[in-house]
Amino acid sequence: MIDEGAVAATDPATATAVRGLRIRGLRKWYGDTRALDGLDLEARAGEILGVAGPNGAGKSTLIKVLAGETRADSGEIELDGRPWDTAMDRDRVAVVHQEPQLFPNLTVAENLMVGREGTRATVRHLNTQERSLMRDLAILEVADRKLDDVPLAIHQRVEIGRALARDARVFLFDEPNSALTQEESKDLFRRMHLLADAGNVVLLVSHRIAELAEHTDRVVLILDGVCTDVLEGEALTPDGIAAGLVSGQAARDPSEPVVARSEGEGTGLRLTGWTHTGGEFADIDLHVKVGQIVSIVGVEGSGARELVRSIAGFERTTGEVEVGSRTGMPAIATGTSLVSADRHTSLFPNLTIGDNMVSRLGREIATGGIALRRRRMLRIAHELRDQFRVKAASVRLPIRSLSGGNQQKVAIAAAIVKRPSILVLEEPTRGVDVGSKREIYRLMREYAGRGHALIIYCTEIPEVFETADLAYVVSEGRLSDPLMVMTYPDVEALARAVTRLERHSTMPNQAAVPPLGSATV
Amino acid sequence: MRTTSRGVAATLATMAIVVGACSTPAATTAPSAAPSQAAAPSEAPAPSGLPYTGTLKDGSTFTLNPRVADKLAKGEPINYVFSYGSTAIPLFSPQYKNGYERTLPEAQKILPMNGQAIAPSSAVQDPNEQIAQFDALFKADQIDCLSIQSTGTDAFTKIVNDYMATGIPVFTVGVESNGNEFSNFTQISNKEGHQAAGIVVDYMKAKGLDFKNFAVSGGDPTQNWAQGRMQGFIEGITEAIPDAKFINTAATALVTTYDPAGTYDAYKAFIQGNPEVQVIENVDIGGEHAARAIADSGNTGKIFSLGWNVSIGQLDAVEAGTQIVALDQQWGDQAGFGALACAELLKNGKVLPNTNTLKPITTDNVVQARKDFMAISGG
Amino acid sequence: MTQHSSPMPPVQPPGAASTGDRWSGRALAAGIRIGGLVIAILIVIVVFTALSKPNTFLTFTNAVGILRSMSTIAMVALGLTLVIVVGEIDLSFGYVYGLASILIGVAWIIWGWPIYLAILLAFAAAVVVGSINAFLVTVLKIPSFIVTLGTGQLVFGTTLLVSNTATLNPAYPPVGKIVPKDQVDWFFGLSNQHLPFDIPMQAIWMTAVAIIIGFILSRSLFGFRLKAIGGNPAAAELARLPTVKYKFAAFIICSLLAALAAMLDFAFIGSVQPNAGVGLTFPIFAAVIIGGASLAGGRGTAIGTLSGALLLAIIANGLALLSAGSYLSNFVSGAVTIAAVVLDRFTQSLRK
Repeated sequence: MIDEGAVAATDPATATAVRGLRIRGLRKWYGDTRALDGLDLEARAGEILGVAGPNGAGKSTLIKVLAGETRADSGEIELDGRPWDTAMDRDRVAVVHQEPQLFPNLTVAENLMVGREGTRATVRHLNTQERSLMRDLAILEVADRKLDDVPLAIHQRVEIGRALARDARVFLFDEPNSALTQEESKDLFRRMHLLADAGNVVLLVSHRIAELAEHTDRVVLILDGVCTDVLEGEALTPDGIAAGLVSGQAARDPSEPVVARSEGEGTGLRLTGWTHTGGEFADIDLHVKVGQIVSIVGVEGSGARELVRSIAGFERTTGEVEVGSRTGMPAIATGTSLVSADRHTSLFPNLTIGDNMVSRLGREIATGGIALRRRRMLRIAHELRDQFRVKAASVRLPIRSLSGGNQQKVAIAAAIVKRPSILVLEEPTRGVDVGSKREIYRLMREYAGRGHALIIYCTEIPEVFETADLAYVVSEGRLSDPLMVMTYPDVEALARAVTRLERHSTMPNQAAVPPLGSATV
Repeated sequence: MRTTSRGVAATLATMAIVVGACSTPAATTAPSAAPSQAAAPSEAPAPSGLPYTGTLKDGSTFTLNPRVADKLAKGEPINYVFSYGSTAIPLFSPQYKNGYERTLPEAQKILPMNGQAIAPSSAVQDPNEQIAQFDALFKADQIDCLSIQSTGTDAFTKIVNDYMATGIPVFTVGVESNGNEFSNFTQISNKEGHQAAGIVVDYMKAKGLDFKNFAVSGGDPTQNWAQGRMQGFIEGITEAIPDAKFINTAATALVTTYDPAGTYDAYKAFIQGNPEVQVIENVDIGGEHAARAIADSGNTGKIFSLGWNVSIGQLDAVEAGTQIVALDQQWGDQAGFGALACAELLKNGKVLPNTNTLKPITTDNVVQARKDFMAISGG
Repeated sequence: MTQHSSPMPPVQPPGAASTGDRWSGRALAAGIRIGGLVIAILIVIVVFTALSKPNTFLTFTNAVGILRSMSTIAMVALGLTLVIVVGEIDLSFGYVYGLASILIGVAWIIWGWPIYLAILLAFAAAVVVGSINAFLVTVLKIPSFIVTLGTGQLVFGTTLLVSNTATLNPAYPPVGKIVPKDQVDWFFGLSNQHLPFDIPMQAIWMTAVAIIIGFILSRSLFGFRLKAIGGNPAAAELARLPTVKYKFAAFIICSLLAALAAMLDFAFIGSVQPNAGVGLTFPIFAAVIIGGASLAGGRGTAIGTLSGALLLAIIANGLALLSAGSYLSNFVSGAVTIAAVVLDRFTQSLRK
């Protein structure tokens, strides 16, 4: 591995020969919020630098500045010893995002080529290098399908493909593998190492502590807009990273036992003969009691996601449904509320944080359903902000000013404040940092405890282990028998049980995207 | 056509094209590039003189289309077609329709003919659309004699010449035209302007008034005929009153648009900004709103107006004494010209000349004018 | 504009008025946006005052004239604002305006209905058109641009059919028709009362409409949800907001306001013609966009639209006052529209 940077850095006289990225004193303010407060960072060419930190600490802002999407208020950025204006010189950097930012109306191949189509008048075709790239990422088969029609996992890989096809010098990976299977993740990291070996600067922003420990050479910890520590060598372990992250935060004691809850009382939700008209699942009977948290687990294409969404009425289904004492679609309309996996469909970008929080309310915030009660809206928003610990200077700021994890909290808050009997969550902690995850779990348990039921579509077994009372596995459109989560001693045991219930022989959180033409659902 | 409004914002023009595309019932064929019929020599020895042969404005020879000559020989009715700009323009469209219907029976007494009046129904006149309409009939040999109300001085020249070259007689009305047609029955806008100036000067002398400050305006001053009327007026006034002062010129004429309320607002603003004005010329239908703006700003008796065409509002203003004159282009005569002209030409070889007169309506004849107007355009 | 009082306000106890939270991003942003427009308006006023003869442009009389001339545009623009805020577009309102005025004229003068019924008929027609627009957009899911382009043409055709291209004046009904004078007086009175300071009656109507629409947009649940639906239709669906009902309401209100404006203009001018209103589409759109509403949906204010209409009216007034001529008029109108939008974008980016 080339590490000229290390050699040169020790000799100040040859500082100009440093290869890599150097950031000094970076500051960025959003109104009153100090997103970056004098950040120093060094990413050497040829290494993978991990970036860890709680949400709202400044990681996303750092990425935005490096990607040229926004300008820092002060500070210096140097690449290979020369000043680098990130906003002007954007070709040098490629970002693979947390939420893929692509073009749903174009095909997969077109998405890959956007920005590099050349100047000929006719549409160009993929060249050999791109084809081989797409083959490696297993997206070549869907090259001609519209991005809208392919699953989320493929979106991720297209973004990765775009970055890899661009010959940039600096590669930023921002939670890139949240929807990838283990195989695909391994492959991604393999590519990252190849990029680093070729002398590029690679940064990996991630909450997944195990992955950071395994794949990076150094990890910088970012808290409150500054770099507080750099871990390498012996200190670079999962525990070390975890300890560094929660220092100074009110941390939950991981050894605190999960409180055994009594079996719920009363009927929360009952499904009978519940069948998806599109064929994703069939003839499902499910009973969830008040006070229960139920996880529905299943790979992409198993029907699990569709089942969960259908409970809130967002899929076409036949069959009987009961929520509390009501039946049919009206029961769903009044008794359930869904928070979707994709934040783009659960928040209103043109509204403030506070307005987003109360967006699902009606008469509660308007006298006679007509005149808004602004003070009440504000009061509710403040209560929710405290309850969910949303990190925002003011609820009157636009929702866009929040970090991803905080936005997710707002989305969940908006659903909870409506007091649905059944709260339906689709991947509620996707792209959310450790601290915020804990808070969301706490809120979920509180909500269940107050006489409601939660149904969650989960892709991560640890989350199921932490939160659920029961777990059902959906496989090829059928529901398994429930697993009593509390009876499993640890995550691995639960994972094994889940695997046994699946038809596939691979591990559960592999969202294996079935190749085109396969016989599965 | 006096009330074309193609100078309005680009968006409106775009919409107009869409409007036109949606509302034309006839096929939207492109104007014919070249006539399909060559004049073939007739079998019997050709009678000399019109309508069979003649010399056109540009010196070329006109030979009557054999199909038409044949019908004349056999005494069969010919197909007369009158194409005008639009059925959807208030005041204009009803008067045109009425004029066409009035003369057709008279023409039919002279020569047997089937008459047909066609026009697009868009709010904004579009020559291309109009041409597409009658060209479809022409290509189907359904036109033996044609009268076109041109909606632009040069827009129809080519098609007129092409048709004449195939031996189909064409007349144009309404707007000055430079083609080979037999007759162009229209006002000459510059002369109109002079005539208007003369009327104003006579009025001044009769009432013992001393006008010095003048202004020109119109819904769309960029049109040729608008420019002609303004320019002629300016020239006429300046000849008669050497120290007359024009607050604006034909190039900077006040734009009122054709929206009634907008026209009123424009005049109100103009009077506000130029309180010294004494006579305002409106070259289309907006004169009534000028009169109201004059009254509302307390300038009755100090500022006077004049306008073109006839409408109830203008007649009221003439009666009230604020509007000096409403100049009637006699749209009815323009519309009715074609049938009579075709009949005279094909029956008697006579080419009717342009006798379109501008009829001034003043306090002398306003009562009768109102009766005539109500008869034509009521309901 | 609100004042910023403390950098990091402490969390307020529930129920306390949020005086410490006055740092209001949204009010400040709205203020800056309006501020940008206000600057534009002031610049235009200064320019025209300088160019015109002394004591002609900057007078009370002229201001009153401007008020009247902006009334029609402002009224309809306020209705259009609702449609744009909810994320749709309406291109038919100009034709609804024409149909409404012709229906009043024909029903009252030709068919002999009482004026009150004729007005009801016109409003009913507006409701029908608005409902058709909404139905095609929400149920058949055809883009509103196409739908309203089409319904506009349908409406125009209906107008021509009903009116036979005639110009109608109630004071001079056609031969054989009678229009009772007291109805004529009442009708003309709708727009022609003599008010103190010569304030035009139509400006009063405009103010009333502005207050109602302003209330809807800023203080009602309806307006709040309109913005949500326009800002993110997918999220609105998840939140179970009554999108279909609200779009119906928006389209209907827009058509109704077009009919109201048509009625008032008819009453003001005293006669009606079938091609009225066609030329209003561009200025009304311009007023809404200049006023800060986003074509993407989710943003728009009544005060913004009013300011946009005011700016356009001032410009039209100034150009007529100076008799600038066709070329300059069109050029200036287009240039100012662009400049106002650029200024707006610039002030928006300032608040980031």
